[in-house]
Amino acid sequence: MYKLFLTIRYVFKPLSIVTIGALAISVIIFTFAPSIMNGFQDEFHKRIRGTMSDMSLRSDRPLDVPYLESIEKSLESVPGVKAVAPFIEHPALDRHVNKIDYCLIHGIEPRREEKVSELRQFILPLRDWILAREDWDIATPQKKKIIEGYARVYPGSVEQSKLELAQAEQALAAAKARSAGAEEIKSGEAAVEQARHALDFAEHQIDKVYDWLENGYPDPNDPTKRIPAVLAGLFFMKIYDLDIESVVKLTTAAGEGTEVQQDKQFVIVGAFRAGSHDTDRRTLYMSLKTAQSFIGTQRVSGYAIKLDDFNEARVVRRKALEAVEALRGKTGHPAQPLAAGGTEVDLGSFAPECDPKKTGAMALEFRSTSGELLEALPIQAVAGSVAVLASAATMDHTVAETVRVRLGYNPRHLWVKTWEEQNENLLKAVGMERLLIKLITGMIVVAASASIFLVLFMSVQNKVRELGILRAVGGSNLGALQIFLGQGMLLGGIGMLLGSALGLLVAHYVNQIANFIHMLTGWHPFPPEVYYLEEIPSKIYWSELVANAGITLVLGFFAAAVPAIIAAYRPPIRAIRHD
Amino acid sequence: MTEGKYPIISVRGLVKNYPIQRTDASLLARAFGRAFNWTGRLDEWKKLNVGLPILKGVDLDVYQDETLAIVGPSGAGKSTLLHLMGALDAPTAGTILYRGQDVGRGGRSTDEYRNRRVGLVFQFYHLFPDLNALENVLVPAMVASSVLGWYGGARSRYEKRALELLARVRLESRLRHRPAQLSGGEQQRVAIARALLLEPELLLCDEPTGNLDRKTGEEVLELLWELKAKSGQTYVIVTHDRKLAERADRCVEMEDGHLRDAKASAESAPG
Repeated sequence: MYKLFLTIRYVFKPLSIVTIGALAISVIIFTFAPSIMNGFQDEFHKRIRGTMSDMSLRSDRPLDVPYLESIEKSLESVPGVKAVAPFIEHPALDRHVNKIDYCLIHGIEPRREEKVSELRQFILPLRDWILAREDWDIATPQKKKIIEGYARVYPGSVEQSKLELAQAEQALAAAKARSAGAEEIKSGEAAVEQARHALDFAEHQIDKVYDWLENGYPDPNDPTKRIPAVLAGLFFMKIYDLDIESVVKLTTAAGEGTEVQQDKQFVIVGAFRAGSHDTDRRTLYMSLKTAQSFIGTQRVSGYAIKLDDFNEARVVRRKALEAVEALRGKTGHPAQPLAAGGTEVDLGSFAPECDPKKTGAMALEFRSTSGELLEALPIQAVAGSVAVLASAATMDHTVAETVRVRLGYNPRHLWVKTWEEQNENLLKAVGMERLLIKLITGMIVVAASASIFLVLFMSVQNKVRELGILRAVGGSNLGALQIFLGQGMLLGGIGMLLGSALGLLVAHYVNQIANFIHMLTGWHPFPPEVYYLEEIPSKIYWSELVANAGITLVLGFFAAAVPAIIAAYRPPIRAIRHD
Repeated sequence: MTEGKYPIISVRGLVKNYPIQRTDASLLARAFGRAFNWTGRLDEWKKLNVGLPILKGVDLDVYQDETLAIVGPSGAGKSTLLHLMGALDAPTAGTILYRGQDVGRGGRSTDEYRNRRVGLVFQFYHLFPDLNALENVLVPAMVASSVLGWYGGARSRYEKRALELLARVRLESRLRHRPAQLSGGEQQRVAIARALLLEPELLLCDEPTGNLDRKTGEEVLELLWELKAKSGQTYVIVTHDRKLAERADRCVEMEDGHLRDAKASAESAPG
């Protein structure tokens, strides 16, 4: 009986509330702090990555990778590679009335690109664009209302449209159920019809954007003509007050002897938001074809690669590079007599792996059996499957044992890197930050655990004398132990549960809390400009949480158990004299 | 007056050594002692581990119904002897027999002995600070009962007895007060009521008036005598108080770990 009575008496004391409070605060800290750190890290990683694919094959030199099916195929054949898409990255100047600025042309094949990056997710539906272009910070409530109402006319994302359709259908069903007037039902049906249209549009709007990118946007003055189209970043458009269907003038050159393309006009057919500020400010997406003809090249900057499993990146990278290296050797072919002078040669017979239609600058290599290069003939142009040699092949080709088609690139300049390796320095800095944060979080957890340890240790330590008295009036050592351990565990358990619950609540509603602080004091605890994050990210790793809680609980148990066991198994008089 | 009576407690060859205070120096000495032990020099090690001798072979019999006073200078070992008799500590050597059974062995029988057979009154009261006077008195009864037994009748029985006892020690108006709200004399009276709740055969009092002023001390003593007259229990009282010692049936003197009074030594007792 005394165990039950004394445990209850010891737990329901004002001091216990203090103990539980202290425990709960510690637990809140180590629940909340790591979740914010984790969320921040995740979000920041995502932002850095932006539109980047898992991995890419690139060259040291700009626009130096041949646009060849053989390369694509050999990359695709590498185990672990999910998808491959060619891309062009090239700087350009953009002119706006009397201002000139630089931007980055990103040539892609949209339907292939979305298999290697998250392009589709980044393109803003019309409604989102209308909402995003407004400056919400300075908008009055009335203006906000007007804009929101105005934006609703435009279709949002597929999910939004589905939701709205469901709502309209529900409203119609409700109206029918209470047998409303014919007029109301009619308007309800009209709303459903409109929502259906909106959904239809929403489902196709991004494909439409892709079509425009690939085929050009119809010229309003001359419907037979098509204007090349671009997809612009949100900040780019906001800065120059551009809208969908606005025209941008771009200037660029390839540096391969082509003419400088000045003030070529492109029409904006969509806006995107990748999250990384630089991308959203400078990048203009256009189709690969458009980019090639604009720059004046047959080549690409590289190939974006999507992996099955990013953890295998190291292995895949090596294999991808090997596959590309191997291409060179593969094109070897026994010598064939060549006619002198500007001769046309069937390229397919020299290099069956090459798609002659796609081939840019190339060379024919003549090698001896020992592999020594005898002569390299540049190929000037490609027509159908026939290569036209630039100069006369004067040498005695019987000497040459092998003829190779050099693919016009030097694999020494090629490299395959993951997106992380391309951003190595930035990620190193972030990694450093992460390490520090982990360290600090670890210290917080240690401090919290220490305080839990101390609270429980002291609460038991204070009771050692009472434990002695209890033994003196006949309590068994096991019974006394049960009381004091029970008290410690009960306090620890309640504190842990309370703290975990509060910590999770705080982690979940951190943005509301931050907004509340902002509202009260005008001070922003997490200024959104710093990292371009609209809200405080928080991510709870349950395994981490459970591990932390478990460690603390075990520690708490020992904190309560050690002094209690020592006291319970000593002669009672020594516990009584304890201080 | 002890002639022809059977002792309820007999102490034989009781030795108690307290461990030497563990300072850094003695820890070092212990560590070296272990090393000596390993090298076969057991004697050095033993010497270091003997500790401080408090009781050096005490023989004593306590008889039914008597009041035994143990007097002696501070540090002579009176309280230690009493604590050993109450099974609050384990003897280094020797035995304490309660009606022929060894109480120094620990375990369930010792717990029961402390709970039912003896009542303890300390100089510093040692009440539970979180419990009120009534609850403090009831603790031994709670220890003796199971949860079912407690709510199945034991509670009302013991509460009645506790109220009676508290009335007898003139604390009926302070039942719900905590120890901190009571004076020293009142706390000691609560402690006496607690010691007597389960009607033990033996009441061990360790300087019950040592912490009280003279008047309060006398009150407490009067109370003890009054209670003894009613219940006829056996009292062993450790005290400095000569007056108290004179009122006792028998008085033994403790000096330097030995009992001095020849009359009280075991040899003079029958059996």
